Amino acid sequence: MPRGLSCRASLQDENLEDRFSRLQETVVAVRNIRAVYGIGPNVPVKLFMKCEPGVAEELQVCADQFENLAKTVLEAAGVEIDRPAASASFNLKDADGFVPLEGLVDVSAELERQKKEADKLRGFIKGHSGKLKNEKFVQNAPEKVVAEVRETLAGLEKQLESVEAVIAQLGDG
Amino acid sequence: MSTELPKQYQPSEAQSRWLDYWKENGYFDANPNSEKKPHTIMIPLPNVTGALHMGHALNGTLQDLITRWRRMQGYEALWMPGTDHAGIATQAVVERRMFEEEGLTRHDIGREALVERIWDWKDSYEKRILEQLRQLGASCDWRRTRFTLDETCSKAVRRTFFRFFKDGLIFRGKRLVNWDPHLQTAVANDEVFHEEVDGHFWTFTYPVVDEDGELTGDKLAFSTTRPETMIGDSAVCVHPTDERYEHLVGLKCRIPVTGRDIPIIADALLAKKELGTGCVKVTPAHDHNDYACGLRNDLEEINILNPDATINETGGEKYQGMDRYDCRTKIVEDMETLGHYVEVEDRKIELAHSDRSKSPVEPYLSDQWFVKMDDLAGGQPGLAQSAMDAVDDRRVRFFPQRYQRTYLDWLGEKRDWCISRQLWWGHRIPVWTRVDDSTLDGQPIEGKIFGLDNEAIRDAITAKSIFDSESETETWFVCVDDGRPDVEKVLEDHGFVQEEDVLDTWFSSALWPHATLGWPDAENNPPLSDGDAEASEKNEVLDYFYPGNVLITSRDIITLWVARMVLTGLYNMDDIPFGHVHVHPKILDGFGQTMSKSKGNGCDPQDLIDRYGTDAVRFSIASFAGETQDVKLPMGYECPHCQNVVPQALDGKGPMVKPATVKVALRGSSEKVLMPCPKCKKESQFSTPQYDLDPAQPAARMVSERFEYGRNFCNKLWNAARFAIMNLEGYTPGKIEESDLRLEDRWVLSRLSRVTEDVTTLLGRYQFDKATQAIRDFTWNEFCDWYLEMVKPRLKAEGDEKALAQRVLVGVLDGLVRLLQPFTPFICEELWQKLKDIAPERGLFEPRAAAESAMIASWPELPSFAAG
Repeated sequence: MPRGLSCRASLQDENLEDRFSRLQETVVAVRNIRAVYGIGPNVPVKLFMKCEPGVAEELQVCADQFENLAKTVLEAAGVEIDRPAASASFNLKDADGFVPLEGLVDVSAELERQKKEADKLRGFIKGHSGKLKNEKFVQNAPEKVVAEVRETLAGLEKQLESVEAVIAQLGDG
Repeated sequence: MSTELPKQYQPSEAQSRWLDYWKENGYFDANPNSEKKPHTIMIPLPNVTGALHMGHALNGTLQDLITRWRRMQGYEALWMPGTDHAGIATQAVVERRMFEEEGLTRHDIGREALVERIWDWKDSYEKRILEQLRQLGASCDWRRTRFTLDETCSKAVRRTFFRFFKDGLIFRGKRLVNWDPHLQTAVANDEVFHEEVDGHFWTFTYPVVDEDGELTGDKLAFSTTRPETMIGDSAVCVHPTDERYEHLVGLKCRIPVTGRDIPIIADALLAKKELGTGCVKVTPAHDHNDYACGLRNDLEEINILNPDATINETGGEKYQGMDRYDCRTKIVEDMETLGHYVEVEDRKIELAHSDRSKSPVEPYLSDQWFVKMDDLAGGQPGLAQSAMDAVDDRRVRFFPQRYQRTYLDWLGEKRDWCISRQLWWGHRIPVWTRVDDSTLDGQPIEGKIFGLDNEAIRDAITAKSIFDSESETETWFVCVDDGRPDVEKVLEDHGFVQEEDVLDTWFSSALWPHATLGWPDAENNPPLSDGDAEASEKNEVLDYFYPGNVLITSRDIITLWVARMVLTGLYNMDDIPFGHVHVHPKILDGFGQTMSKSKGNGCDPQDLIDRYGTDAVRFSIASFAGETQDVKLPMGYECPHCQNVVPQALDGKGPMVKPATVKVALRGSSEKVLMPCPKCKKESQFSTPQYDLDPAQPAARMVSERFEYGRNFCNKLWNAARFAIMNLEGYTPGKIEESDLRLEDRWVLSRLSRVTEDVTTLLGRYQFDKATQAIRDFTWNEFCDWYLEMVKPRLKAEGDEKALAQRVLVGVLDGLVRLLQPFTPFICEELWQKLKDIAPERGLFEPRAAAESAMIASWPELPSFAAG
């Protein structure tokens, strides 16, 4: 299909597709932060992106889509960006993003809440790993049950990791 | 113009609306067209034995997908439909039913009446099968529907047989075949299955006799599971290096029950020193290994059975007329009485059964017709080799390639093809025979009967004779070409009788790719079902559509069907029948078993269509048709009262299946077992081979979560399109300038262009699963979830911004619908027609009038800006 080939030359733009992947990842990350901190979808948030100037420029070009898709204002982007105080963060391949939480979240109350959550998770983890340390249980329980406990434990550990990251982010404010 | 789509997609309404519309407009029809390239797919003709099942739904979906895609690419795409008379399978079903319902056998009603009944059966099932295919959206050229026993196909069968006969490729011979005593016919190796049964392993002795026939006092002990075959023993065999018996080789031993003496021979291939006594009896006429041994050692072949598996005259007064199993008991008793019984042990025996009658088959020596597969005298490639060469030199290519091994290995054996079947339903062998007396002696038969100068008659017949020196008679075999009832009559007037046997079903299906197109008629196009075949000076249909492009089939029939189509295509047409063979996966139940009616794990595609919609079924099927060997499809039973789904479980160890909540064993149960629903606690009947469903009562039918994939996709597409269409109020067509495009437009166009290219490439490789995944991801993740969100604000704007956004959106949606049309044709037509109302002129980047129907729109080839 010669026409098909010529269309590829003009319509397919790998660089543009990469840029949109970054845009999508950013929007997903911001939506995720909203979910974690209970920030409603219509509450505007600010976004800072630390990245190379080229990337920054590309992000600026999509700025209206941040607003459109995630109610997010791209405040600034560039190498000079420093992590704002009490902000949630995320990492992309070629950029780090920060969403300041001041004014959106009661930081100290949230910190308390997250610490409690972390303690609760640690308790669960202790229980589950205790079970797995018990040789009798591991040997005698049906394979399926043991596998389930392992799976749950892995899930809990992951959750704890996320909560600890949140605590770290809130705590340095 | 309303820019509203109904809130929900209603598959059944769309299905009936667009099926009629496509038919009325003749969109499925394919005719020779010098402006276009042909694309031909021949359906793997379903048997008229019964209704279509999931395997057919998979096979049909893939063929339709390719046909619709090629049609959009600008090919004159023919998908040739039809059905197979399926000789033994159909006759067995009708006979079984007749016996169960009326207690009649075929011999009670005779050949003509039976064949008539089978035609009735065929008519009703063919109708049902074709309707099932239609419901699947199959875009076959229904005017060309063929049946392997119709006039067009029958002509091809006659002509092929005649040509084979004339070229010396058909011969008659005695061969050991798998004999089905119940149906009284030979069954092919592939129609035989092995099942373990409880049997016995007896050990007996034969006394050795010297040259004068006196007992030497030596005895040879051997073991057997079938003592009755002693009557047909031709030798006792030992290994040539077995020192225990060396001194006896060359002497004879006596079969005590018949008193006949047989030689003691040495054969390294048959006897094993370390097995049992190291001594085996040889019955060439009733065992495949013994048969080969008999050929090697020039042993007598003694047939002991009548066609109904009673003992024939070789059994003498003592055993003649007994059923083989009764004879077995009697012989054991007699051997014991005669002092030649040693011992018996119980043993599990892998017994061969006929797939058709489910009864044990007997190796049986009988007169059969064969097609010679081996190379010709002088080393010229024969039929098998020619078909192997076509794959070796890549004229025929397999996708996935690994399946060519199956094809080459099987053909490589070059085993002669046994083409006669002792049935009534099929193409009767076009050979007339007569055991000669002196009247024909010495003169060519053509001359003797028809007058030597009659060339027209000479061309219509080929005669051969076999002289039997024992009876000093000559048997004449006269093969008559197609379309010469006059010659047949003359033969019959001269005492010739047509062969009773019919041809193996695969003989006619082997010709399918050229027979359906009207071969051997070179002058006329094949007839159409609506009666008006296009008048023409030659058979343009055959010239134009042969050879086909791709055969899409299951791996089970690579040897029996695919290989034979290639060899007959090369023989009759001097060309391959298709360039590609795509072998798709097989659908298994959730336990990894093949689906079958008797296991109760199959599912009528119509049930799924009714529940999920045709598009959803097609899309789901395409999503699991990749290069893997098999696809597991777990099913459940939906409670008719509360719609709770009860998973399937095996009945005992299987292979039958039942709802997991049914705890009693179905097999052997005489009560109609009901399924309890754990949720609503009500009971209901369910799809099972244990009983027929009572249509007046609610029933738990089979469902499968796997099809929710397709249904969810259709709903997502519908909702997205509904949103898009709602925002098209005030649409005006207009040229789209590159400089006007926003970043998100460029992005979605880039993605659409890439996914178009990917899908095109993947379909070209028959990687349906990957193609489905690619188009689903684009539709769901990019078009629905991102692009529509990104473009929303512009659609709410006014003026040029809105107009441009609408034009791009319509262009993208148009492209997407076209890409999806081969997968989900009904929802696509529904959207296409709606778009046609709102935006009859549209396009990237120059507006043009949209095609009348999505199915005849062109496959997207996104233009470049420069060209636009």
